[in-house]
Amino acid sequence: MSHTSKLFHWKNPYDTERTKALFLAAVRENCAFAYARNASYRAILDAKGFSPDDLREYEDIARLPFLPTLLFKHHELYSVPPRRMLLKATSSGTGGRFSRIGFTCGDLMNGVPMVWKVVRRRGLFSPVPCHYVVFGYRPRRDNHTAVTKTAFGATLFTPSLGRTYALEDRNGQYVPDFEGVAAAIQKYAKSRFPLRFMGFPSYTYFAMKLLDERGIHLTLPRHSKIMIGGGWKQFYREAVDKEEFYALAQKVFAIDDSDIVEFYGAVEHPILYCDCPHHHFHVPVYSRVIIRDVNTLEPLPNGQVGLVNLISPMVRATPVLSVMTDDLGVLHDGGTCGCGLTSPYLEIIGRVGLKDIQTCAAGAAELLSHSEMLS
Amino acid sequence: MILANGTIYPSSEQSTLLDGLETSVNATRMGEPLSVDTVIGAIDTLGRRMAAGEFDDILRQCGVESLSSVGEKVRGSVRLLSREYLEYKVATELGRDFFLPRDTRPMLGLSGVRTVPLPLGTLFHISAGNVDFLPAYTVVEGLLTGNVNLLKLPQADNGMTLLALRTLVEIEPRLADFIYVFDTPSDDIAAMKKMAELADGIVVWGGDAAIRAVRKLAAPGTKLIEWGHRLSFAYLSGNWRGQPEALTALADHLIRTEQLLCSSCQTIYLDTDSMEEIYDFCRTFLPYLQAARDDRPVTEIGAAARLTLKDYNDELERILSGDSSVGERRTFRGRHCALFAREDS
Ligand SMILES: [Zn+2]
Repeated sequence: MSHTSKLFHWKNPYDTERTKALFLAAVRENCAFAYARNASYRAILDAKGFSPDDLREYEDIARLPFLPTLLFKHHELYSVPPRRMLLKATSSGTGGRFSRIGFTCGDLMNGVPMVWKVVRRRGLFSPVPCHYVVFGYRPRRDNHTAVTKTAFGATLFTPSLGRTYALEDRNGQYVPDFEGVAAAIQKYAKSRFPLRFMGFPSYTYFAMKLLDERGIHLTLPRHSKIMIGGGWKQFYREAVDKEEFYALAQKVFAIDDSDIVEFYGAVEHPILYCDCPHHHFHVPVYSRVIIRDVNTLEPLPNGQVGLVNLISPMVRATPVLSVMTDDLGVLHDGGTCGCGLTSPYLEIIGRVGLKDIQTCAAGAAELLSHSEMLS
Repeated sequence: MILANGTIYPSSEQSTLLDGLETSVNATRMGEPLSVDTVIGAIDTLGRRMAAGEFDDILRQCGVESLSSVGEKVRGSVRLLSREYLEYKVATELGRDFFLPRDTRPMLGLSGVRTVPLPLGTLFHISAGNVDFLPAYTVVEGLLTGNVNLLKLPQADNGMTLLALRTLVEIEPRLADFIYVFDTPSDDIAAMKKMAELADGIVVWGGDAAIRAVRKLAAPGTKLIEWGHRLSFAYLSGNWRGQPEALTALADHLIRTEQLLCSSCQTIYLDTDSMEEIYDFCRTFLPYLQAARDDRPVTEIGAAARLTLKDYNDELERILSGDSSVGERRTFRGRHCALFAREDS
């Protein structure tokens, strides 16, 4: 059994303290694999003067060169031939560019025990059938986005009595159908089976707001749940904070905040982050987080804001071992949460919004804010 | 959503509207021409209302800014919408009294003619979606010259374009028949073709691929008005060491424009065969660059992170582009600025 496989079968998914040695071994294993088979990855490590053998101590992981997620938007950086890849997933690609990340069968198999352990802790698996309302895209063959796959996956936690999608495929185009969703919710509310929501927080919020404005306040069947994922990035815009979201769920659906579960993940770091009952994202054993200084990229101690660097040996097909997101975040000491988990927890506080462009078109935006440049 | 003749229609009305488009555009072009004064007046009013903060909330909802303040950005752009600036722009780009008829006065008793600049007719705009306001801006340019404008919204549009143009029509109803906005997806080739066929000119913002695609849409005789990518560079020869003012100015230019404009210097070429001289230049120039950077410090954490990340990403891009194996290269890194030395291949 490989170190990676051992790591993904570790019994307690939040035992980050006792998995340090194993994590290091798995990282070294993954790094050596990519270094041997991926010329691009090797070129980067060589240029940075780093070799897989330099991973001797746990702390050396921080010295491992990281790849920005932006890089995966411009390059197909695969470490295995395409025929060995079972799945290719893409990020949602606002603005036209998206990352292409490939997975081998083995990579995906790592995910199975991970999802099982993480999801089970939050009591999401159940033999009781549920109705599902998905605030996301109806899957279709040409939709490779990871959010779509994840959202669909979440409707498999229990037997499904039916799925309603907020983004429906109409003649090849996705169109939002909030009226259809509102009608479905009112219908399912009368059922004796629980109703589960899954999808983007902003859409979920919007649907609750719509019902609230119409004076529709429901008591959903017992064990109904709201699962949200796909990031809070829409939320920065609308400046809706989580408390308001929970309050609205209570008001419109009579759902307690303990029945609201949030997921976090990125296609470049396909580790399932699931919030604890206090709604904190504790780091699972499959992953490590390094917060880096926004000027020097040096690691920061817990409690300070910086760029979020995510590390996981899960994927071999693409060198996403250590990726630098364009999220700003803070890592908190696990003990301060109070839920009982001791692994540190990650708080995402914003997005840097690294724009992909440096053309004159981009410059025009700058002009709008710095009009003196025109003259 | 679609905006046509001042009314908002659902996207499902697209084919009906497109079918009637030729008739309605022809009627507009037969009617009263649009004067540049009318357009400037409307934009000026829009600018004032923006400055007063009337749209701040909506803009925030459209996600114009996520991390820094909307108000500041809006008020910065208001100057560009002022009558004073627009009149200056038209006079600079087209010449003073451009729209007035002119009589030629040939010598030797030949008979003169009267010339009047007229609009091209109908413009079809395919705008880039990566910049707030750009789609509306390209339509405004078409309006200033009296054209009827068909705009295909970029897929990533956040709703602001429609808001801006609709407000413009509210302010000045005479503009209504000169503005058509369609949210046609780029893969609806039939609709795109129809709009292209109606157009006398296609205004396209984008790189080579976009322009190549648009050329295929355009009928012979349709003018292509391209806003493509352009590159600028600096060229240093001779005694650069003895010219601190020039180095200061170059550093200031690089930092001030953030190298974002097509008129921004992207590369500094040095007229030398010696890599040592290039390194020497980097060592000499880096303090100038750093001083310029420090004059415009990056204080906001998001902006600092963005610059750091971009530098880092650029460094990896250079490694991946393979030129690591050809010739010498070295990085001279400052704080929020860096110089990459390499041979000219
Ligand atoms: Zn906790």
